[in-house]
Amino acid sequence: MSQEQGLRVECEAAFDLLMHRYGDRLTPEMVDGLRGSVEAVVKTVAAVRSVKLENGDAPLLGFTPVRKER
Amino acid sequence: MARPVFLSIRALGELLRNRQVSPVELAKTFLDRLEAMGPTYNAVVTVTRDLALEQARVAETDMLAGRYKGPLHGIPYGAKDLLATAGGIPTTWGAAPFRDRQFDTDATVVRRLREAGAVLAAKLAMVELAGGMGYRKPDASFTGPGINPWDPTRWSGGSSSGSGSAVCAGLVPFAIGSETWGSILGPANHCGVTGLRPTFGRVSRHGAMVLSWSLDKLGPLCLTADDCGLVLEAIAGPDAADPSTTDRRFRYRPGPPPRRLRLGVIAGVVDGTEAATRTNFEAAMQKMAEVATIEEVKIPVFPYEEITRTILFGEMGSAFEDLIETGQIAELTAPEDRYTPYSRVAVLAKDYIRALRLRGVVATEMDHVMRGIDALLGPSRPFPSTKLDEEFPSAIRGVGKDLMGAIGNVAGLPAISVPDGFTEHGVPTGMQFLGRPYEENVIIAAASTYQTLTDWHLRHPPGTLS
Repeated sequence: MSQEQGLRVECEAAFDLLMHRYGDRLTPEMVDGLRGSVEAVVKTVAAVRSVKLENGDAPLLGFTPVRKER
Repeated sequence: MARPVFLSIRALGELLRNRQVSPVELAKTFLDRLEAMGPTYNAVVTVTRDLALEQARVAETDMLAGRYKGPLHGIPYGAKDLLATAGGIPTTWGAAPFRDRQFDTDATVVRRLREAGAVLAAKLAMVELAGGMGYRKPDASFTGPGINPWDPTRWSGGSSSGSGSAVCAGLVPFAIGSETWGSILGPANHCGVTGLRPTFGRVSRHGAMVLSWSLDKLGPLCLTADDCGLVLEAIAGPDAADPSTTDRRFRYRPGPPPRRLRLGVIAGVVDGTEAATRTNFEAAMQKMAEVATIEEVKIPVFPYEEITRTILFGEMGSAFEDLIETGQIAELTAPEDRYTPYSRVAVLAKDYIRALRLRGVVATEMDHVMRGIDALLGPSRPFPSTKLDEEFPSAIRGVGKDLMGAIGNVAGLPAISVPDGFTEHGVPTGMQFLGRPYEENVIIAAASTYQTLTDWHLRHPPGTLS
């Protein structure tokens, strides 16, 4: 499967899932709009996936263990 | 006495200290303007007249007794309506479902400004839920589209729309806005005011609406870069209620840079920008070349905008999970805000984490790129203010470029936008100085230097001068 086909399949799968969960709330115009915004999300994450990362490239997270004084 | 409108905080402070104007007089001047002109620009949600007069009277008493709290003492301001305020003042987030909502406590920023003696005169209008829902046109707030004081047919920018237009129209001497991606620099650009986006973690977000935990920042919009420094010193600092805040203290150092500035311009940064934006930026660079060394810099190729967008989508989908899952987004103003958030649910956890890993790579690479320079220069926004009924280009929606906005926000870098000219339609454009983390003093000094060489920041919309 080409990358383009893969993205199309992913778009359809994501769109179907969202329609399953939220479709009953949407008008036909909103459904069209949702399809477009799903495509935009899938294109966005595809670009993010295209960059090679090394095992040691850690997420830049801020996290501090919580300890409240008694 | 000089008319106390369109004067800098520093100049107003002098008038107050010399008793040429009283805090109560000053508050009344701006309250009257907020009430009379605020609706013209859809700039205001709530004028806090009673609170402002009470705070101004306290400031007056303190000053007469010689208790001077600093440069913001007695200065009125407006807060973007995503900052919680106690005392029965609504905090609406610009969104119809929350138009009557009230909080019991003040946001840390509001508290710190009160402690600095500033006078809260208004809660300012904003794009609903800080613009993270996918809106395409300015009319995305229950208070109406933000109207640009330079041209009432055009947008004031978003999402801190009222913070930009209120400062621009002389309704308040300064305002607090927020930026996740473009929401301080955008209105500063469109309205021709000076806007500072601090380093991530510099200013507590406690009590502010969350759009994205790892991207949201709070910062001032003012008439001058110097004023931004004064406000930042008052609001910056660690806060146990916001674990993202840094322990590094910020002390504003006014004055020119200690040595000749070294500035960088990313190769191709003006590609795709509008003609006036490019022309004005090139002229601004020439002006800066009188006082700085400017060199072209190359940056590694990354999908900067997509990385920032993925983090934003992943976090906003969680921050507004209730609103999305209950279907309450159907009550939002912009038609596209009623369905676009559903698509953000489609971001997989592994892609979100991948974007966070890339954020680390980008932050490291940018630190390397910026090691030899004081700041990167670029247009504040790729386009000037658009018509109220037009769809505007947006990097958040993926239909517009904003390279420096993506880099600056994903890496948590500070930036300041200063006006650098006008378009043929008479609306402003801006230039940004993007700095290294925690180097707000450097970019403020650079921006202040530019403002000593130019007078764009001293120009005000004709309709606001009466």
